[in-house]
Amino acid sequence: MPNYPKHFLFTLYNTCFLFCFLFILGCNQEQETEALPILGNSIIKQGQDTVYHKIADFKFMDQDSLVVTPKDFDEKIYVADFFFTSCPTICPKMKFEMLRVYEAFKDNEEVRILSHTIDPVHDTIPLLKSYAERLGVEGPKWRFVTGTQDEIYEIGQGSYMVSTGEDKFSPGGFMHSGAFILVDKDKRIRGIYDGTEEEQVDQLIKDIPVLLQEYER
Amino acid sequence: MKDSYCGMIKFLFLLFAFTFIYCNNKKENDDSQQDWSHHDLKTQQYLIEGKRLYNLHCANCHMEDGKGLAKLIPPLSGSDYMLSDVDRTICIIKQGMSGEIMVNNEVYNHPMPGNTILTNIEIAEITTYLYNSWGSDKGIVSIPEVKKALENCNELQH
Repeated sequence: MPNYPKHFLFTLYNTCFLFCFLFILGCNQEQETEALPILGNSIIKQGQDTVYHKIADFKFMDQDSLVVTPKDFDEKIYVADFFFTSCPTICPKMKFEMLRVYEAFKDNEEVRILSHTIDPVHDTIPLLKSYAERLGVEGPKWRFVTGTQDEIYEIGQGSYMVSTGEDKFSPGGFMHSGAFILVDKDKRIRGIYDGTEEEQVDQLIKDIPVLLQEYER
Repeated sequence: MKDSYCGMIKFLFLLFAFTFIYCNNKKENDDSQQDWSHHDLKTQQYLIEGKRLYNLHCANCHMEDGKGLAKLIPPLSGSDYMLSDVDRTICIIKQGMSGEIMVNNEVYNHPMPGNTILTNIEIAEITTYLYNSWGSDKGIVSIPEVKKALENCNELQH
């Protein structure tokens, strides 16, 4: 090996070291294993376990005329949202983003999607079925459910903590949030994401495996 | 000896610089805007305003790239249905539509709400944008054209 000057070898050695260091740093950034928070009002009593906010009991019907209750999500985590088929504003974008979630976890039996219509009068079961078919998705992976207006608004506001309601000043006649709510196997809310924002849905797609990992212990 | 040493340093520096620039540019998704510079000033103004109005009123459903949503909402980009009839497009923008249609060999049947608040110039601008984007290059759609089309909407074939 030719006799290179000392300071040359020193610089080369340091540059390689710098590259390796940056490389390792870059690699580590993809391994975030921080657990997701538990959202909602929790009741903390001294000397007892914390009682966390949970999704209340519900009974809806999906696009295949099947009854849907919390039992259908036992041992599963799911993403919930609220929409209506004749929505002229944010809903198509929400569906576009939710489709990404659907495709990402298509083969994962533990992940489900639950879309509630906030216009049960217009969004009949056959209409929901046709809507789902045109989107190219099927139950029970992605269920589109309907119920009474009161039940749906109540669970939206009370359980999922999103604002929904009739509003004659809103386009389409309904005011609703474009939130996607991530629910764990214990029916607790672990994340709320804006379904119209691609980056937030990217984050949701990253958070789902993190949540699933919690149950692998 | 000193030459090869300098050469090595320059090489490492270039390598580092390239990596840095490449990584920074990777995330920037360059939305390739169609070239409108060959159009006259008035057409260009229509196109710019048309794009703004499209993104405000239409992109929610038809999406910014004009590709629609699955089999629910038809595309506008490359749509044979849209490209074959400008007058019909003008009427649909204003009045909305419902019923089954065939676009690029797919059946769609999802109602579109109208946009009755849009003025004739706004419709002219949006239509100009639609017919000069995503590979089309049909030139300006004028206000008199829009006015005439809107007078004859009821006679149109779906």
